[in-house]
Amino acid sequence: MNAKKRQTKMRLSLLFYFLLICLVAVFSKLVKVQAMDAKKYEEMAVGQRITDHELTPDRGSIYDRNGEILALSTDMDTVFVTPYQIKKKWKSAKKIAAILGESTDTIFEKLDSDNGFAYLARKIDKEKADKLKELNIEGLGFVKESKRQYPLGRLASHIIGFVGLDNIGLSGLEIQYDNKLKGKPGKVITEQDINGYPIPGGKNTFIPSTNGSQLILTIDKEIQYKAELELSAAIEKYEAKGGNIIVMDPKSGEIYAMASLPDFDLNDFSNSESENFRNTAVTDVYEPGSTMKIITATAILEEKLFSPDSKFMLPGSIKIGGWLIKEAHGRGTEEFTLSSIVTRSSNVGATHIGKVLGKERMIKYIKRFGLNSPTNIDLPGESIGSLLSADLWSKSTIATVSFGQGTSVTSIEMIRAFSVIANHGVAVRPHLVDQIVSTRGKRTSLASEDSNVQVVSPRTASLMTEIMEDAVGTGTGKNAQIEGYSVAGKTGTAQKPNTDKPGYSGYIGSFIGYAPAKDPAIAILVTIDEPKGAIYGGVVAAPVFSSVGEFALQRLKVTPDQVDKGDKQQ
Amino acid sequence: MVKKKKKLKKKKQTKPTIYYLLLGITFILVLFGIVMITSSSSSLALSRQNDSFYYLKRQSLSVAIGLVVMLIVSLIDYRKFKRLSIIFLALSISLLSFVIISGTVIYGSSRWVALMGITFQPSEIAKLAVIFFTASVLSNNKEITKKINSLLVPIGLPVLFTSILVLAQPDLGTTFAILITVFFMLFMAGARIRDLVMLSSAGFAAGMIFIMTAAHRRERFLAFLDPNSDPKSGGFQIIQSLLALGSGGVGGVGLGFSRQKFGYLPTPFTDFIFAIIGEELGLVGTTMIIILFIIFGFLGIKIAQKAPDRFGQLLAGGITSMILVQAIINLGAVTGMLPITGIPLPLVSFGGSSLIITLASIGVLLNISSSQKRRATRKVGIEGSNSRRRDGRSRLSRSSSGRSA
Repeated sequence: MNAKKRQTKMRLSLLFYFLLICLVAVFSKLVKVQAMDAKKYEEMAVGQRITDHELTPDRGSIYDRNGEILALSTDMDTVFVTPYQIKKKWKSAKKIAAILGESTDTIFEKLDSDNGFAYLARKIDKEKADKLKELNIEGLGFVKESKRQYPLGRLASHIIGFVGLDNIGLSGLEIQYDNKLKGKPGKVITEQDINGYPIPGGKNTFIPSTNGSQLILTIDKEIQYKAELELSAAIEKYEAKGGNIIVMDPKSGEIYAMASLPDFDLNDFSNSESENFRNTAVTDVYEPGSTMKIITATAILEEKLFSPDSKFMLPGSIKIGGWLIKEAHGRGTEEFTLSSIVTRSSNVGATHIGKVLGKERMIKYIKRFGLNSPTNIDLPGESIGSLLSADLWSKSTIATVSFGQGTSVTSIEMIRAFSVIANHGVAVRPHLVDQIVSTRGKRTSLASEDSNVQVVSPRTASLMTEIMEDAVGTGTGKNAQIEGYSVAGKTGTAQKPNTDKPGYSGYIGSFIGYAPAKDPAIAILVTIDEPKGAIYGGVVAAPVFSSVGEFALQRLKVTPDQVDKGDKQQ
Repeated sequence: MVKKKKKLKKKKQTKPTIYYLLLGITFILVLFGIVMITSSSSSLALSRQNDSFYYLKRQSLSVAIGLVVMLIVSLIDYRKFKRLSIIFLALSISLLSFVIISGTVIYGSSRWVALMGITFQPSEIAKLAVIFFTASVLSNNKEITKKINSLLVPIGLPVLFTSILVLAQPDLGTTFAILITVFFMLFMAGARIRDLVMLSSAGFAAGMIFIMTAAHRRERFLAFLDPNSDPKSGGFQIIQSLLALGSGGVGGVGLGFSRQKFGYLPTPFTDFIFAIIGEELGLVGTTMIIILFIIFGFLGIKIAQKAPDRFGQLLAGGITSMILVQAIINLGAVTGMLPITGIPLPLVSFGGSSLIITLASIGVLLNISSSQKRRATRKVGIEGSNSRRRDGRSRLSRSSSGRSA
C-alpha cells in the first residue's frame, strides 16, 4: 500500500515536471518571439496597419511676361473599376460604353479582368463622369486627377512643351522645369484596423502637398502670336518645309517669341507626329550661309586688318583648292569696300578677306561668338554647331566658312552671335523663364549677367552695325526695313547639305537683324527651310523680319528713331 | 462565548498555507483576466454592443458567480462527490446530447445550451464530470491499473463516449484536454508505462486520422505547420498572434494600447487574450502568466500528493492536469507551437462557462487541501494512510483533534 502511495506521489511529481517542461518551452518560444525576433514582427504589424495615401500637388501654371496664362492644371474625373465587385458585367459594360463612347467589348474586357483595379477612363469631362455616377454601378470608383491644359493650343507649343498622363514633363519647359513645376506630394498616414477604419488614438499624420511653382516667361504672347502668324504665312507662300523665328532682347537675352514650324497642338499632342515635337531653332543645326559674313567681317575689323572703307578689286569668281567660288548674281571684276562685301553679300569678297584672316583667327572668332558651344538656353535638347577642327581644314575650307558653308550653327546660337554686335560687343544668355514664383509667393529671378562677356570691342560692334544698316538700307536686306526705325541686319541664303550623300540640295533663306540699329530693343532671326519659287533670304525671310519687327517694336513701345528721316524720304 | 471564539480561530488555523496560496494565485489570474478583457474588448464592445464595458460587466458577473460556486464547493466534502460521479457523468452526457440536437450555433459550433435563460457549454461540465468519474473508478479498484484491459469497460467506454459527444459539438480542443487529462490520471494511478505508450500511440493515430479527414481541421493543422503558406485564411490567426506578441517586445506597448485588437486578432479577449497580454505587457507580462500557471501546477500537484485518500489524490491530480493542459494547449496555440483548437486560457480568457467550471474545480482542490492532515504539511510522505483517512474523514473530527492537542 505504501509502495503504491509512493509510486503515485512520484508519478505526480513526474507529471508536474512534464507540465513544467511544456510551460518552459512556451516561455522559450516567447523569448524568441518577443525579444529576439520582436523587431521583425513589429515591423510586419506596423506594415499591415499603416497606410500611406499620397496627395498629389497641383502642377504650377505657366504665364507669359504679362501674366497671360499659357499652361494650367485643372481637376478632371478619372473612373476606375474594381472588377470583382461588378455584377452583371455585360449589362454594365453596355451602359458604360454608351456614355464613354467606346465599344462594349473593350469596356467588358476591363470589367472582366483579373486585376483588383483597372482604369476605365482617365481625365474625362465632368459631364461624362456625372452620368457614370448616376448609373450607380457597384464597383466603379471616381477620383480627381489633375490634367494639364494649354488654353492657347498650338501657340508656343515648342517652348511650353507638354506632360504625360502622370503629369510628368515630357518636353519643352515642362520637362526643363519639371522639378519646380511638379511640387511636392503630400501624404496622409493613417493607422487602420482590419476593415480600413482609423484606429482611435492611432497614428494619423497629414503632410500637406506643396503645389508646384509658377513660371513667368520672357515670352510675350502677342509677339509670339504675330511671329508664328508671319512665319507660317511665309512658309505657306513659298511652300517651304518649315522655319524658325526668334525674337529676343539682345541686351538681356530675354526671348519674346520663339517658334519652329511645323508645330503641334499641346492639348492633342498624342495625335501629332513626333517629328513636329522638335524645337528646331534649338535642336537642329544648319549651314548659315551669308549671315556668317558678319562674323568674318567683324573678325577683320576687331583684328584691325582692314577698315570698313578698305578697297578691294574683286574678280567675278575665284578659284581656291580646286573649287570655283562664284557670286550669287554673276558680275565682272569690280571694286568693293569691306562694307560693300557685306552689304552686297559677295562670296568672292568674303573668301578674299577670309584668306587674309586665316584659319586660326577664323576658328577663334567662331568660338568667341559661341557658334560652337551651347547658349545654355533653358530648353531641353540643345545642339551645338559643328566646326571642323583646324587640322581637318582643306584649302577651300577657309573660303566656304567665310561665307557660311561647310560649318553649321543652330538658330539660337546665330541670334546670340548677332546680339553680341547689337549689344556693343557683349554676349548674353538667351532665356525663356524670367521668374519662378513659389506657392508662398517667393520670386526667384533667373536673369543673370554672369555669363555676359565682352566678345568684341564696342567700336567694332558699332562699325558692324553701320555696315548692317547699309545692308538693309541699300543692300540685299531692303525688305527688312521697318518704317520709322533704323534696322541693322544681314540676309543669308545657304545651300543645304544632303544628309545621306555628299553634295548640296535645297536652300535655307534667312535674315537676322535688330532694331533700332543704334540702341536695339529687339533682335530677330528668321529662317525659311527649303522655300520654293524664291530662295533668297532677302526675299523669303526679310519681309517676315520687317512685319514681326514692326509689331514687336510698337508693342514694346519703342520710340521710333527715324521719324524725321522717313518723312524727308517721303 | 470565549470557547466559541477559540473554536473559530482554531478552525481557521486548520487550513494549510497551500490553501491560501492556491486561493491567492486564483485571484491574481482572475483579476489579470478581468483587466485584460477590459483592455482588449473595449473597442469591439463599443462597436458590437454599444457599451465599452459590456464584456467587463459580463465577465465580472461570471467571476462573482464563479467565486460563490468555488466557495460553496470548497465547503462540501469532496468525498461526497465520489458516489455522485456516475450521476454527474450521466447528466453531462445527456446535456451534451441535448446540445447536439438543439444547441445554439456560435462560431460554427453548437457548443452552447440555454437553460433557464443562462447559456452555458455542457462540454465544460463534461470535463469535470469525466475527472470525477475517472478518479472514482480508479480509486475504487486499486488493482485495476495493473491490467489495462480491465480498464476498457469501466473507464474507456464512458470516457470515449463522452469525448465523442464533445467532439461532435464540435469541440476538438476540449476533447483533447479531456483525453490527455484521463491519460495523465491513468499515469498517476500507476498504469504500466507499456500500456500508456500503447494508449498514446493509438490516440495519436486516431487524432491524425480525425484531423486529416475534415477539410477545415486539415487546413488549420497545415496552417499551423506553415502559417505563411496561407496567411490570408488558415495561417491568419497564428501570424496575427505572433505579430501581437512581437509588437509587445520585452516591455509591451502599454496597457490598453494594443493595435492587434482592432480586428487583426479575431478573438482578442477569448482564445487569444494571451497574445494581447504579450502585446500590451510584453515578455514581462507573458512570463508572469507562465510563472503563475507553474505555481498553480506546483500547488495543485502538492495538494494531490498530500490528499488524504486515493480518490482525493486522483481528483486533485486530475483537476490540476486539466487546468494546466488547457493552459498549455492555449499558450501553445497562441505562440504557434500547437494547432489552434479553440481552447480558452483558464481563469484569464473571457467566457462564463469555462470560468465558473474552472473556479468550481478549484473549489474542489481547496476542499481537498483543507482536508489534509495538519501534520502532513510538516512531514511529507511518512504518515500512514490509515491515520490520514481517519483524519480527513470530516472537518468535525479534525477540529476536535485540534482541540485535544
